[in-house]
Amino acid sequence: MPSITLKSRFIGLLLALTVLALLGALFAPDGRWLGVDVGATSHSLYVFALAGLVWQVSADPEALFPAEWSIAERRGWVSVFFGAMIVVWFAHFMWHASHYDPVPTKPYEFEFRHLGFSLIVLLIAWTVTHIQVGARQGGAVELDERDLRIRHAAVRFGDTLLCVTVVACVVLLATLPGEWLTWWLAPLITAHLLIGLLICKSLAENLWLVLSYARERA
Amino acid sequence: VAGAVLRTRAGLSVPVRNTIREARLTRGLTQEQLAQACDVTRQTIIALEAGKYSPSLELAFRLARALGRDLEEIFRFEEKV
Repeated sequence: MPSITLKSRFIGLLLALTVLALLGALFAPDGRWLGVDVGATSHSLYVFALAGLVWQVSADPEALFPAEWSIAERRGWVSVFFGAMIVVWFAHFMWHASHYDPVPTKPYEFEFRHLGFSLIVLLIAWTVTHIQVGARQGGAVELDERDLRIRHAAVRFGDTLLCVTVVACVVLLATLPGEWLTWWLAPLITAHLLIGLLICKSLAENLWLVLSYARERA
Repeated sequence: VAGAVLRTRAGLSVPVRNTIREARLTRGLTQEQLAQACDVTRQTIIALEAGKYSPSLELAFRLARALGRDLEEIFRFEEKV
């Protein structure tokens, strides 16, 4: 049976590979490099690395997370990781969408299929890891009043951030010239922006959560 | 004696000190055992003993019961203006 340090290193390697492969898949230049399609190869590598990562973390969360972390804190980090991946995918998609001319008005005019597939894969991976991180510590308390108190503080932070963002959007709508806003106010684009706002709120909450745990431990 | 400093609306510094660690060691319990007896995580016991967390009234009673002491033997309220 491999030692915990060896497993930790392997999981760290898978983690780094997943992030690098994702960046390669999204931001690699078009065309081939030394005969290799970098984008497509990176995407395949990303899927394999992600599957391996979920498998390894689910099989042995102790190899990745320090023993003094509670299940809720571990799950917070899992949420930060997958939330950040979703934000990167979504931001990349919106960046591409901003180059559409004219503005898409029908769902099928968006190249949503690729993003949709990636989001579904990430959501499944997130759910499996979330469940397994807790399931491997049979009988342990998953959430107590301290965890709930930290969670509530994180939600309050997220709500405040959302309010500030909405107010900032209102100010922008009231002050910017109408022609600048034409693209952003197309119904489908606005709908996507609202979804993006909720995704960012969730990521901000989870970041606040894990930072609160780290601050308490310090 | 661990103390969690709370701040009231009036801006008063209100340290709630506890003797959970001493009582636990006297009773020969590990943090894990005390956590199980009170239905909380071991991390919460660590935070309590370090004075970084003030428990709810319900948890305070559960802690006192698990440690076989009265509430005021475990928690001490020291108001300072």
